[in-house]
Amino acid sequence: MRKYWFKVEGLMFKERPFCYLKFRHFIMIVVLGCFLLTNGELSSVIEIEARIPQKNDLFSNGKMDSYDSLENRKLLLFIIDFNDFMCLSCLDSFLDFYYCLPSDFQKHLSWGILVFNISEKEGNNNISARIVEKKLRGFVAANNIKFPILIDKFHVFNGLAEEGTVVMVFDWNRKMVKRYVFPLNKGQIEEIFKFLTE
Amino acid sequence: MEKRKGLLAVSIVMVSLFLQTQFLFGKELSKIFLEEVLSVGSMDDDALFQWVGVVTDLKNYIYVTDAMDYSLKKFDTKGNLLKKTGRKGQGPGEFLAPRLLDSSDQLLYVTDQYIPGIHVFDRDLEFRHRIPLIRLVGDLKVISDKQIAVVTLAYGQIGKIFFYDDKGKVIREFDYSTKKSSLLMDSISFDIDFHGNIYLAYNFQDKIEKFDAEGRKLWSQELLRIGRVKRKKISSIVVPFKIVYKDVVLDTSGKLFVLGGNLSKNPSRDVYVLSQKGEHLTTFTLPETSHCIYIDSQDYLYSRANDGVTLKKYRMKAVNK
Repeated sequence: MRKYWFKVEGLMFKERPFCYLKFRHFIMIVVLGCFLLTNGELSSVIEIEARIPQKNDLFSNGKMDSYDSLENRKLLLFIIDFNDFMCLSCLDSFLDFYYCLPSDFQKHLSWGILVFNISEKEGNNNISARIVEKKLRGFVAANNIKFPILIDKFHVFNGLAEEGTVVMVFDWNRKMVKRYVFPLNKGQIEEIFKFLTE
Repeated sequence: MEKRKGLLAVSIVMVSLFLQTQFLFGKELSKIFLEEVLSVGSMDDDALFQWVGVVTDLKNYIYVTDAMDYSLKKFDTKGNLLKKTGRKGQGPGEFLAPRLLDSSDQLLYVTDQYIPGIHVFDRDLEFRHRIPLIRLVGDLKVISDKQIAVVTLAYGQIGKIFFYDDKGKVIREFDYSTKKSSLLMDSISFDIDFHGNIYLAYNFQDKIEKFDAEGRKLWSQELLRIGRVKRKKISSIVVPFKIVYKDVVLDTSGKLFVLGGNLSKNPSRDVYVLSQKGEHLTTFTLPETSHCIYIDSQDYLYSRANDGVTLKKYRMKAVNK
């Protein structure tokens, strides 16, 4: 009976190869998802500055602190568009803003995500990611950037930077997330600094 | 006996050089193949991040501007980084976006995309002085330590090549376009030969031209037959957005090498080779897209690879019909 069931199943898949493929893909996606949820990394990390975790870090020892300790916390997330590297003045607004930030926000209270878009025509995504990584290394060193920047190899954040480089402000006091597109105007800069310093 | 042997060796060398020259640059040139001889900058090192300008000297040292880390770099013949100078800023020897590079016998001349004027360095990359120009530089050709030819990007000044002395004083002006064209349409790349002949490749028109030292037009050539270049409105201004020709350089025999832009069959990779009389001799294709080409005093060709992370040096092998 059991043998027969397998035979039927085999026939089913043989006659409907698409279903079989879909089934295989489903299993692969589940396995991959489990792996990513447990210990997989979404992006490669460029270590900008090695340092010992500080007492007032948002995350310490690799674990999230309790909700209470997150109060009065603010964070900046820069989503940097790789296309802006091709026109260095496009990143001037970002750099000017960065250099004016309070020192905590120049280091551990800011994160960066570098997004890039490579068309199929341009070929191997792996090589492209390595080129992006190298250019980022040059940019970080030449401009003395202190916060960590991840390269978004799997294009998770591309949609957030369709208009170019952006900064997102996370303010736990106000329970607020805001997004600003570079170049920032005077009013936007004042608003962000108000959020950060209040 | 020793003298005769020496003479024989010299004769053999001379004959082989003559034959090679004939072979390489004969009029019946039909194909050029590229053989890579050097690659500077890999994915893993920190030699180059986004190179822009390149020039070599008689000792085959390679000098490169790198826009990503605001620097001017010197490499040896094997591609090892010997020295690097520059940082972000607007002071002496500092850059906001280092770009074009050319050299005289003793000095290197570097332009910045956002700062008018030309930085002058010696071959050890020590900053010497700055030639004060009022306008941003679009293209540059160093004729001698005392004379530099410049195309500016200033509106109203396009259509002219300015010849400056080493103090930044205009010696003469050459009008290559007398009619008033719309914005960017007359922007060019150019080169000048030993006789003072000027070769132009228009960036946004299908036009390559040669003028003699007196400013008389000798010929004009259209290679792509594309008609009028499309333009689009950005904010309130209408500008062309597809580059026809990106760069033009001469080799030692006077042949003209023109790098095609977006409208070529292989965009930013096709190089058109023209004779002194403007005849199209052949076209060859670079392995990767490039923003510029450079040919040194030994006719090696330099171009971009890996999106500006790598500089490639090629030997050009010509095949005659």
